[in-house]
Amino acid sequence: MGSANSTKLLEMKSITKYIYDEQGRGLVATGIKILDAVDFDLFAGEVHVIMGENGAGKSTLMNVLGGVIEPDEGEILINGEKERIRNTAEARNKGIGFIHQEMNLCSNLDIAHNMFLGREPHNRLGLSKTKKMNSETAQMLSKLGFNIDPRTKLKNLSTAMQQIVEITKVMSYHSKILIMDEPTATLTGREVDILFKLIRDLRDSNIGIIYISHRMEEIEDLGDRFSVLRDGKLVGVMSKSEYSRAECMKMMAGRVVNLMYKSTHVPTKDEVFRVEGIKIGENTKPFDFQINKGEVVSFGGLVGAGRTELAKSIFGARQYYGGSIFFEGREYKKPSVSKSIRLGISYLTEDRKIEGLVQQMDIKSNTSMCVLDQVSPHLVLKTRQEAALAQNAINRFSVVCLGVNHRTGTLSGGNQQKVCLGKWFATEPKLLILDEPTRGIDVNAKAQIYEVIDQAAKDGMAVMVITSDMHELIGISDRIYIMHEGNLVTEIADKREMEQENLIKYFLNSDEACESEA
Amino acid sequence: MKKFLLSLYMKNGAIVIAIVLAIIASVLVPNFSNINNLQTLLKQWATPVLICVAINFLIVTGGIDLSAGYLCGLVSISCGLMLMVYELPVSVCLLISILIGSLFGLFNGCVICYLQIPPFITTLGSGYIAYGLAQIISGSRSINHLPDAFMSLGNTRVIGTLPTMVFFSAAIVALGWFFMSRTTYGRKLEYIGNNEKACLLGGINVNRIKCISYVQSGLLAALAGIFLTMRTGSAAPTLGGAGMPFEAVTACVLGGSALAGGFSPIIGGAFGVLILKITENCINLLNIETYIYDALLAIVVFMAIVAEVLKSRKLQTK
Repeated sequence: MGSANSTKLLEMKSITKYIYDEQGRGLVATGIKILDAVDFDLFAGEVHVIMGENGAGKSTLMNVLGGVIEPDEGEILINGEKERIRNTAEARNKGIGFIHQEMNLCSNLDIAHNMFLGREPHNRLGLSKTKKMNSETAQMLSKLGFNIDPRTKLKNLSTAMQQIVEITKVMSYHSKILIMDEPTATLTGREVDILFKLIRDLRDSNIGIIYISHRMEEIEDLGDRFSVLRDGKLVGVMSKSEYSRAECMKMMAGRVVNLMYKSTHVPTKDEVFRVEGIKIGENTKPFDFQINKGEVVSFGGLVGAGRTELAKSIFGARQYYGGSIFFEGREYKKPSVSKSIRLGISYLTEDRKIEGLVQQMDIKSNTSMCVLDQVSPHLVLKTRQEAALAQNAINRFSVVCLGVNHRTGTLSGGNQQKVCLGKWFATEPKLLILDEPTRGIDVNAKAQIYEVIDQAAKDGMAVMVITSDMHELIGISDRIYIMHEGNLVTEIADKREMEQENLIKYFLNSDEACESEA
Repeated sequence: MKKFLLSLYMKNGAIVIAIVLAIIASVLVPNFSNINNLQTLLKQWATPVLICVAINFLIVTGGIDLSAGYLCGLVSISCGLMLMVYELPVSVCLLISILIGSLFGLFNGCVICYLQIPPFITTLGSGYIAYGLAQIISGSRSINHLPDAFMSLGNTRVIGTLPTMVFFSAAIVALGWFFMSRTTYGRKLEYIGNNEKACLLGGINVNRIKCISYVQSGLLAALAGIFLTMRTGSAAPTLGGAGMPFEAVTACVLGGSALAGGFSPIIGGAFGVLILKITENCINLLNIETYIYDALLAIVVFMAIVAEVLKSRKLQTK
């Protein structure tokens, strides 16, 4: 697509957004920017891909455009005119269609009713004109090249077709700009093809499409231009001819700074944990790995590589499809969460707010959660011991709080994570699994958590870390395993090989590497 | 001081309301402050408060037991049959009654926790089972002239006309408070009510704990059935009924429970029952249409639900 001679649909000029409160108001006083003077533009009839790691600011930028939040600084021009987008309805009226990761459809209603949800055509009695809805829906669908009965219930459609209904719905608002946030996350191969055909058709009919995805193959397949964000800043824009995967990955990851990582532990060769032939999905290949005493082993890979699934499988919180697990030399059959905790396996969840903390309760109740029956073995709560346990965690991880009775929901992200760590360290684990331990926390807390990991290994724990942060992966690991779509791609045991360039190579070759292994 | 009063109200709102209501009633309603009336009030309080304690333990995890009232009727008539028709000794009869209640609670708990059927539907259905059973085994008749050995257990006067059952109930409220706030059982319920996912990933046996709370509910409902039989002097399949758990939920709400779960103060609930009973008592003394009481209950629950929804909507916009 020659975008040079097309019209400029959208221009976003030096958009800045500070971290914001629940109403979306930027907390300018904090000085913490999620978006820092980001420029972005979109031509009619192009697919502009936005790339970046988690937390790079992709979604925030799109939320600004979609009217979910307002920018603190910068301006938005649509068709060359300065516009203010205060809410989602305004965005829709200005021709911006937002396809969210999770679809906003009602699965028990048919296509036509979903299409007209909240704006059903009706007669004077208020009864909806079903026939009119059906015929108009069929018309809209056929315009996009689909012949489906508009009376089909949504739940009887495949995920891809549901997505197409969503797109049709958004297009029915005469959208000129279409934002798609990871639309293929839940689709299968053939479904992706259907969706891509539609995206290309839309592009050819002069719609401007903003596409966010983590899947390199897709992006390369579809994209006309590529913008890379990192830490809230625009790192670069590439046209199709300038694009290369390696360059793009490098831009996304940035330069590795090693100052934060101090390694004082010495890994041993005593095996603590070993897995043989584990299959985490129905169609994934079995693989082996092991973790030794005093060793920090990291699992790298792109989002959706199956690392959280692996962790939950060995922790007993998820079904897996075969393989044996050995813990301290003995086979660990039929893992369950409570058995794992008793044996000395801990799993710090990826999402601390939903799966980790009990936010309504205080630090003391949270840190004793997994050891409640050990602390108070005879039914009656021993509050003094609980308080001691909590105080211990507060001192050990230097949690900033008002004391053991401080409600955890009001702590900062980093301190919440430290309380979660306190909860798991209370179980005195031998194998500590940390799933994205530094996601969404500030730099200081990050450094403290790296120190905790190092100290844990020094104390003889086997530490398994799942991380999507390239710096972290290189900085803290004694060994690295790389996963891709549920399979183990490679193991990197040599510190010298843990270089960004090299890792990028593995990330990129992940498909081929898998095939050659099989 | 202002802050202290405010926090006192937030934590013990029900106590404050109960006291204020009692003062107003004693001024405005003739015969309210009469000692006999106050004693009657406490007698009326003794049974529903048991159901309230039981429901408190369910509400904290977001559950409910609508079968509790019908279970009272079933236990009452079983008690009567065992005493009068099968002529079992009182102790055996009490034991079996409580066993019936517990087993019934176990059934509810298993269906809810292990078959994952919503508690509302489960207990609505099982309540009708209990009601049907009670009607069948009794032939829709009630049994009067229960033996003295049975009646005296709950009706022996201790202070004034206050019978033993009031003190039993008070003891159970205290026990309930202890279990809720001072044991690992109560703590686990609180964890589950606030974040069930974190409990599953923290090794807490969510299903077992929840199931126990339903067994407890059945047990307390059985006890309430026995108390009710002792108070009325007749074993009837219609004792209790659908209104009972509703009254208990209303009391819990007045006591400060969050209907969405996570927090449910037992003492507050007990005073919630007292508030309701004072209101009912005044309605009776003033010769007002008694059905107003039911409407009042509904209004309180309705307002609580609206408040809850508004609160959670506010949280969602975060």
